[in-house]
Amino acid sequence: MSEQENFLQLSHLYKFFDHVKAVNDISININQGELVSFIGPSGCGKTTLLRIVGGFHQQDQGAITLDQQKIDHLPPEDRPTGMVFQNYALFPHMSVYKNVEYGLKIEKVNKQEREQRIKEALSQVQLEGYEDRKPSELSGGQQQRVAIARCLVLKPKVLLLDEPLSNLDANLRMIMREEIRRLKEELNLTIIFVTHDQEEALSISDRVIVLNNGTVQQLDRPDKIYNTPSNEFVANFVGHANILNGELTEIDGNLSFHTDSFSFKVEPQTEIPTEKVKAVIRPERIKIDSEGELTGTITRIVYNGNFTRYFVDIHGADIMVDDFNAHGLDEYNRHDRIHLSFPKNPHFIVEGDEA
Amino acid sequence: MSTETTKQSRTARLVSDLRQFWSEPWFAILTMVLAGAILLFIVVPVFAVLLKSFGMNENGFTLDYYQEFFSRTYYFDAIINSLSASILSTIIVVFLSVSISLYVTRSSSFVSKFYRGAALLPLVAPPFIFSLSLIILFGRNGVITNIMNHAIGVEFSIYGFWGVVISQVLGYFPIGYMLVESTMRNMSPSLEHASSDLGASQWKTLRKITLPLSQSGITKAGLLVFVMALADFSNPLIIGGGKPFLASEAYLLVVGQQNLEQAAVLGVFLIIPSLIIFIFQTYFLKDSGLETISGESGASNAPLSRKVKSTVMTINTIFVAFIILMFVMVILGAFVKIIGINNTFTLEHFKNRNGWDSLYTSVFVSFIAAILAATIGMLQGYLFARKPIPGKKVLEFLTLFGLAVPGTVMGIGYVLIFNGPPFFLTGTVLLIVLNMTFRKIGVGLEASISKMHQIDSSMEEASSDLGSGPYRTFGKIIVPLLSPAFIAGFVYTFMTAMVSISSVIFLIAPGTNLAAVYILNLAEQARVGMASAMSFILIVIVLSCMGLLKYIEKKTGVSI
Ligand SMILES: Nc1ncnc2c1ncn2[C@@H]1O[C@H](COP(=O)(O)OP(=O)(O)O)[C@@H](O)[C@H]1O
Ligand SMILES: [Mg+2]
Repeated sequence: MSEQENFLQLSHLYKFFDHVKAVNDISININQGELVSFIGPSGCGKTTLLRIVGGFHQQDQGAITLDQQKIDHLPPEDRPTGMVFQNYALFPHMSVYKNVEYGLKIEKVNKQEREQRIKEALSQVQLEGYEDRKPSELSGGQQQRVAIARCLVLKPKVLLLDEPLSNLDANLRMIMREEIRRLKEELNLTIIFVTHDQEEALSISDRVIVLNNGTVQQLDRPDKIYNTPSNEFVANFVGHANILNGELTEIDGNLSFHTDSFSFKVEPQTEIPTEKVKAVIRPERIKIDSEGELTGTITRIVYNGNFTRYFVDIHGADIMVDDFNAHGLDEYNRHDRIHLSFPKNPHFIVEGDEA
Repeated sequence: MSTETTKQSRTARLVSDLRQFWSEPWFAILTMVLAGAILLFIVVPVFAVLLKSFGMNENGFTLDYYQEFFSRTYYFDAIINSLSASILSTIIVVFLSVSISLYVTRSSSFVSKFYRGAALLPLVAPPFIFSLSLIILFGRNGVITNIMNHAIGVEFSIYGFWGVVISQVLGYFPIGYMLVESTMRNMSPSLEHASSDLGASQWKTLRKITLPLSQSGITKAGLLVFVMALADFSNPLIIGGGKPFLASEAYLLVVGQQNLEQAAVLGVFLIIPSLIIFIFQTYFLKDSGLETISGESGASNAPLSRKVKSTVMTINTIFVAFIILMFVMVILGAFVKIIGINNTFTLEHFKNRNGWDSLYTSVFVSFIAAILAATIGMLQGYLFARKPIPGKKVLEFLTLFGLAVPGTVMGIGYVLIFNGPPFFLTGTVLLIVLNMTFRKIGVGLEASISKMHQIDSSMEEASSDLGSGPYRTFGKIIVPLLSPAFIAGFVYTFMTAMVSISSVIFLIAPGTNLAAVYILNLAEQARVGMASAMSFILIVIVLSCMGLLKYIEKKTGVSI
């Protein structure tokens, strides 16, 4: 199957509700067979953007093309998109079979083909044998599968999922995450996946789009989003980060990063920003290390099972340090003084005041 | 400046609403047809009565008819009688409702179910059936009247003011009771527990906690009973003993003297209190929120203490026994020659050609009206809950207003509007159907709107996402999901249409007759046997409908 680049193109979309700029100049290109997730805090415009793609909101401005066709003027029923709703929106008066059949009947697919396609869709979501159940007789996870099958059977060009896992318990969430990933691989689906759970987004997506206040903050692979956030908002929203204000200075060919409280050596940079910059350092990248160049006092300890988070005071700066509990027991106590080594290649961001 | 911008955004909103409204032309057209029908069949007739009361026909505007009204103590008496009977009935109904609710909401015993069932029994009977049984018992030749006459030589007659009050209490009791009971049921039991925990006796808890918290339900119940009793037309006619009451007097003016103007004046005095109460209910009696603080399931109200319980049970038992006695009298009356005088079993009262014809007509007309009312209510409920219809608040208000207009006023209004050109509908079955339909569409509308609020709009979005246009979505998704509301509207309209009388009595042509009207005529002429037999059949029909409904409910699993 030849993959189309820029299969779905959103360009300069705007949607205001009275004075709320829910979507404020958003342009995104999504490739065929790609799973892209939208993340961002509640109210940042994820749902609105998704609903514009599905045709449930009309954008104020901007254009959408899908598979080289302009679709932004079409009502939802004429768009080749399939939406899985947060509450699944299964028709309660119809059996599983009838729910899945609904769209096929509208397309006037003949009975024989309908039967065959429904069978196929239900087997894709592993719900064979549930044809005659009513939605109320299914568990949350099963309802979700029906909702997905109901879309898949129509072979939509893009599958839109709005916080599909938020109504499931933690275990089931993991299972369905894998399931969606598997379906995507098997059927080469193009999927937009909305979530407010950054971990979910990182684990499921090919690319992640971080939104805030109706604008795109960053669009990138999950590892890039995590390791090289484009601004302070992204750094804070995705995972935890020590964000240090400071300056890079070069002395005798050695580069170091100076904050008000302390400084540490960093690797030579290809480009040295001259202004004030921010260093983004994930807590797990700071090592407790007797050889470490910096020392601090533990002020607070939060035990998390697989790792322990230490809050360390270094000359007045409060630094988070995560230590994996590979050896079982906690090794340090409150008020202990410890040595720390900072990563030599922190991620720097240069920006105006965005936080 | 900020008002400027809000004004701008408001016009912009209106424009976009209108555009959206027109994007589904069939729904838009339907909405306009509905709006037109609501105006024509609910609003215009009421205005016609208002205008007519000022004589707005031949000699232009005149206050003559009001002058006439105020110059005759007879009419003044009608107001006093109507108001005082309604107020009395209301107070008694509320008192009894509280008493029965107190017991029923705290016990699931057989006795409790029995009270409840008996208390709701009057629902299935025409509202004037109690006049009939009162006459059987206490009329001039009544069973008890005769006994008392013979035994202690007391001359005694039920005809008059008190007969009307007792009949109204019995007839309108279920309506008040249902509201009071549901309020008390929804009240959080922990409040009472807390009160007794703090050391209050049960009487004190009742007075300080239970009743105040049930206040809004009790007020609603009282207002509703008052409006119904005020509009009551048949009881005064049957058992009023010639005393004037507003609704019956208006009827007599139309039928006896063709004095539509004077009748319209009486109609205005009927409608003013109803309108005030309706507006009060719509705008000021929105849920106070007090009684809905509940939430904990499982917890139940504390059982009544011995002292309270014995008082309440005494009252309940006497009242419930009285209701049942009333029904028993009608059934006996239907199956014996002349009750109290010649008590031999007979079926002759059922051999009544005209009676059966009128029953057939009633069933037919009520059925059509019920289908229409339920369908319109469902359509309207969907459109009003989902579509950006300009002015829908007003339309909703007017639709519900149809429920509040006294039947007599509506009847006179229909005569005024549809008698002449361009309609010429008087005497047609169609007009009767329309009258029954539009007086009741509010019930289907309310049921549908509240059902629509339970249906997430993602349901329709999912349908359209799967390729369905708006009309198919309505047919395939909304209609099935609204079916409980449809059935509720249907059943309510059918039941009330079968026994309704105050409005349609103005509209029937010689030759056609409706069962309720026919029974009323029989009762007026004190032809007790035939009236009882016909009432009995009417009750059986309505009861079987309820049975059918329960059956459907069980079968389909939808609660109605
Ligand atoms: N139909 C609407 N009318 C008015 N405001 C809306 C509507 N839908 C969303 N909004 C507003 O737009 C913003 C974005 O909402 P939404 O897209 O639902 O956010 P998210 O899904 O990211 O939580 C919010 O401020 C919300 O209040
Ligand atoms: Mg959302």
